[in-house]
Amino acid sequence: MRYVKWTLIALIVLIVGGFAHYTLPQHDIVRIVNTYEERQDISGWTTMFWQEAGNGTANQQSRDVQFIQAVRPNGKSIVYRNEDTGWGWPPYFKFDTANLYTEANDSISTRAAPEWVSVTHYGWRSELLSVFPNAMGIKPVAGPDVTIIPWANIIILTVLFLFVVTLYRMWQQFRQRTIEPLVDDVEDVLELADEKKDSAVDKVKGWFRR
Amino acid sequence: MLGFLRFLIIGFVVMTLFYGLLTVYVRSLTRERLEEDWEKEGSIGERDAYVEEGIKAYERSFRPKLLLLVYILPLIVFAAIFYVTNFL
Repeated sequence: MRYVKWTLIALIVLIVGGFAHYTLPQHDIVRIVNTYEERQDISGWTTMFWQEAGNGTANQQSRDVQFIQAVRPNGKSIVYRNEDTGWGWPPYFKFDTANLYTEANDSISTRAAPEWVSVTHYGWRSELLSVFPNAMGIKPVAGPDVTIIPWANIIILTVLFLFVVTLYRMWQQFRQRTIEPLVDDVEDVLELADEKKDSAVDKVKGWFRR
Repeated sequence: MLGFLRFLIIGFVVMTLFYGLLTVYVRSLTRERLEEDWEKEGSIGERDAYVEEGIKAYERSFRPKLLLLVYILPLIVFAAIFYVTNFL
């Protein structure tokens, strides 16, 4: 039973943590090397790693998607997709895909004269599933070693924590003020019934004793 | 346009749900506080009357109107995110 409980808890932590890690914004310090557009036939369960159709830019599951190719300071490559999130999930309300594409093209630099930028993005890169993180913003930074404090994440996670605590407190209050008095009432009624039954039984026993 | 409507409707429903829950919760907290106050003041007079009067005073006050921030704050957050994503 203990294993079941801990497996469940681990599963919940994994799912919630994974969801947050996928959805919350992250910053990569990279050097942008190229951009390209490629036709994507989006189908199957990996569809959920792409923006849904009907965001103003796409009406079908086969469409052109913009990509931004970049290189990390350690030499490893990373490719971002560049898609509107529109009014859908996650709620970034990104509509400036074309502008971001321009900025990305403007930030292209060579290995000889690198210009480092911080790319804000959400999502994961999976080579196996052909899944790409979605780029949200590009900002020039001083160098490859700057540290960026994730203020957005700090604020979002704090607010989320407060929200969960509030919901928990609400439930506690409801239990304490509404459910427990009700249960007490029911218990009182049951006790009363029990006493009545006992006295009735005694009465019957009394008849037979006579 | 359809996406915008969906966003609007879902947002409104979620905010209304939370607003309702908060309203009930804060009123319950107020009631509890009033009951404690009544005891602290030496249990003078009718308890229910004291609490009801306090609840009425609470409902007339500005504090329950503060709960409307449940609608206003997400709107501000939305505007901020929209601005940061698209225009910053």
